[in-house]
Amino acid sequence: MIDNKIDFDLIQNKIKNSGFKLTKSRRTILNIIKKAKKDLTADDIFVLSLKKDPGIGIATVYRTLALMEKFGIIEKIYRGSNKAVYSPAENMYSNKKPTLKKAINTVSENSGIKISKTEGLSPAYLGAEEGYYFKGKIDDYHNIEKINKIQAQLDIWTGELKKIKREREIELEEIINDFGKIDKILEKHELNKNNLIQMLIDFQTEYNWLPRHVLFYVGSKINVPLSQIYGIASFYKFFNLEPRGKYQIIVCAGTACHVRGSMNLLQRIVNVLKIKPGDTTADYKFTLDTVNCLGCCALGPVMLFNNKYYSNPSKKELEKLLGSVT
Amino acid sequence: MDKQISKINSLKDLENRARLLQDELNGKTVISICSGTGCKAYASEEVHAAIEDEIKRISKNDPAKIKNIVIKRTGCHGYCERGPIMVIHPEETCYMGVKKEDVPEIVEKTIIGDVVEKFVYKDETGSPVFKESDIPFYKFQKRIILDSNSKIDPTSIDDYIRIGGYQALAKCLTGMTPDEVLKEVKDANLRGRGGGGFPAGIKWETVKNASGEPRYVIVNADEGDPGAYMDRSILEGNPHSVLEGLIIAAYAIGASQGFIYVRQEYPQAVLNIIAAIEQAREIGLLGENILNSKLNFDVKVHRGAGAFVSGESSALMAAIEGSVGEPRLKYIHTAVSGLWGKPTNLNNVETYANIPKIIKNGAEWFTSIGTKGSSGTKIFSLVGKVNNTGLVEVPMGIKLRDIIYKIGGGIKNGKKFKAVQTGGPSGGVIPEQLLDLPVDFDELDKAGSMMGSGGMIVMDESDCMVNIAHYFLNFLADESCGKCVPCREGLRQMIYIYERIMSGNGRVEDLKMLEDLSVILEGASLCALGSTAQNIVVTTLKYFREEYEAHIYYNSCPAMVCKPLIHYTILENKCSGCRICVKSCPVNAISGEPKKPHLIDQDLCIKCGACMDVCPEKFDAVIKRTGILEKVTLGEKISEKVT
Repeated sequence: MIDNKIDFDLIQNKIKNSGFKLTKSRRTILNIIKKAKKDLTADDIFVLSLKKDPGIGIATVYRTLALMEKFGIIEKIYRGSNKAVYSPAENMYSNKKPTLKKAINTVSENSGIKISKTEGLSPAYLGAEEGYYFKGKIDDYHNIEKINKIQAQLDIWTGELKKIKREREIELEEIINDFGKIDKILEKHELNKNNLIQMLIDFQTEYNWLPRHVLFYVGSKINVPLSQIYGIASFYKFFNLEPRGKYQIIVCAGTACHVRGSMNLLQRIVNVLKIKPGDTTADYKFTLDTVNCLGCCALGPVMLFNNKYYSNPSKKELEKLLGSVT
Repeated sequence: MDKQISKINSLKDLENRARLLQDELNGKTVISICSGTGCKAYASEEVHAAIEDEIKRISKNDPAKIKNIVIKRTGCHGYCERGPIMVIHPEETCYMGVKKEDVPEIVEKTIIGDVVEKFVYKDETGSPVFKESDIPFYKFQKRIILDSNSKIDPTSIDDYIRIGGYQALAKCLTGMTPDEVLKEVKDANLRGRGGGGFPAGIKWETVKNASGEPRYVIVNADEGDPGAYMDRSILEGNPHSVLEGLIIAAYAIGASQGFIYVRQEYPQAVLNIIAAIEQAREIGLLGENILNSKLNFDVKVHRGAGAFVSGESSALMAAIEGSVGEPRLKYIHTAVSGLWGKPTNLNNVETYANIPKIIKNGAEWFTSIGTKGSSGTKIFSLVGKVNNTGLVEVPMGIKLRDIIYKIGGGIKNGKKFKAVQTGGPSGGVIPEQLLDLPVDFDELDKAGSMMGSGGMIVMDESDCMVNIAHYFLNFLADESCGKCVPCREGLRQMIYIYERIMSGNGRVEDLKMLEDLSVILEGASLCALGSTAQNIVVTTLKYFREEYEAHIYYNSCPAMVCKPLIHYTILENKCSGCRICVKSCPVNAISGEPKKPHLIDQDLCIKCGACMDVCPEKFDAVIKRTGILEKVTLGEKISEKVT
């Protein structure tokens, strides 16, 4: 058996030297080839890789395979029908490197298929040369395998579909519940186009941002094109078209605070949270914002957090403060 | 205590009610605590809760003791620097910086009519000043609008009626014709307090004479100027005065619908004004047939969603109509064709708050305050590097020096005064040599700045004028709606030039270019946002040109603000090698062994100043320098570096 411990460092170096990267999808595909008990066609690799990473497309698989082949990491072998199979190349292994012949023999032994002639030829030419085809009913074998695989895949997909359907249903239910809430706000403003900004303010206070479905719904209800709603929502500072963090940190950037050093305060918060002003942390916990005046100039430079004002907190105080909320 | 709500039908009703309410408080001690946003930031709500708790605790043991005590939450007192502020009426004893732990002591002393000296304002000699109006901050002011802020609970219409509120309205509706009201306002020469300074009476007349029905009246409370919060204080602290002014305006003009456009960012103000409208409606001061005068008038509150340009008249009206708040060309004034194409009167909060006072005391009284061209008082928010931050109301014509030194108590930390910026982002800076300038609309205009809504930002020697101008331009570019090219592109180009100058890459021709751009902006912009944006550039160039030149010619920022032009160094002879700065440096730019002088790697340094902050005072080894590196030697003064 082949000692199938792949030297990733070696491969990585190889790829890097050629100006490429060992991306996540490339790594996934390499792993699949590595772990395969038998040779795989591009289709097989695609199906297997989907389980690991649903984002991989068949084109990615082909491109990756072509790339790997170019670097000599894997080998493309033509057998039987016109479908090529892929197997690790010799130099993919760190220690003992089996010869090409041995490798192919091992592979074919495992799959129970005999290959007539392999000696002295590079794999790329195998299919092109006349007479180097598999013996036996190779097509039948492939068909059964294929059917089994597709069946298994179908089962997985059906399960996933059901799950997605359920999730969507829950989401829809929430949205439908939402519409009740939206209707209430709309009625408060008498479904009047002139009150559009007032409605949006109420939605913003309700959701902390303006979800798309809300804007859609409002637009259809009061008969205003979505483009116009977006025009207003993006013009006014108070509206957000993206979800906001649970807690907002508002730093006053008014003139009075500016001359008292609000920029330094902002920089300190940026250093602690590692986000830019206007951004939200990855866990949607904090959103950092600046405003033009909080109107408590005597405290400047001042920041508003959790409905409390803090005057020029130091880095340590900030860390303590932000760590104190969950 | 709550009595049945009865509708008010005449001036007499109002006066009776006021008398009744006054009697109610006779002989009682009122503990009032400021609940303006400034004091709330100092946790005044906790103090208020503590007082209530304390009163409750005492009443359990001895109810008789506190039967003469009334607690009241009032609007902003103005002296935000010393918040939270507590005033005991009728003695007017003023306590400052009260904490909730201090409450029991104060309550206890107040019950027996004593004062707690330690929370009272101390003057320079250290002797206590008990009365609020004797404190220098208040002594030099003339508070005709803010005065009632500290006496009434903004959420109670009764409090407003007690001090004679709505009597001016009743006087108008029952004894004056709309023309007489208009004449009174015109005679008073009340100029728009929102910044423009356009006479309100003339505007009202235009709206009145314009054809079209219905007419609208709007309160502009979209106070977007950074560092200015007088409108918010009035709306929060005394919403009824604005409402009363608005109803009087509606009567004089013949409007049937009013709007109050207030920023969503002022939640307290929104709540208070909505509550005030409801209360006024309840007792029949809004709605149909107000005070049996056949005036039908109602008010709606429109919340602004945060756009500076929406404070401009045509943009504000577009926002009320429900569209994007962009200004339009005003070859036809909004007074003639405003909201939905109808005649519309738009005035600032402070302007409306002045109206009841004028009607009540007469135009003559009003013109006796202030200067010839600008009568009455103006509220300024005195902020920045000044000792007494807060809202000040002064008669027009007062000297800038008096505001900053007498009321404001001089510059913080004993530094040197450099300039004062007035009028918000649209205004300019006023240097020290013009400090004796009398403050009114025309004089400020002459100096190249403007009254604006009344922001007054004091700057000291550690503020870089180039940086300040850049800050304002950035603000304006951010808030520009982008409709007209001079404003959108002109501001952007100016910012590029400023960034160049601030990073030490300024060019000799840059100053000329800034001046040229200023001329274009002033002449070709669609609205005031663009045409006044150059004020800050022109005034800083006029009064602080040498500072620009220092940036361009000597790569030096005299105020040590522009980061690319400053650098921190450790003085070898002073550094003892304690390694404190090494540990505090966020980018590991400082190297050095213990007991040996450390060194800052200038390439790595991000100029955060952390090393300077942590260096122990006894060593004081880290210094900040500016200018071209080689030219700077130890002990050299900044001015020497520049020349």
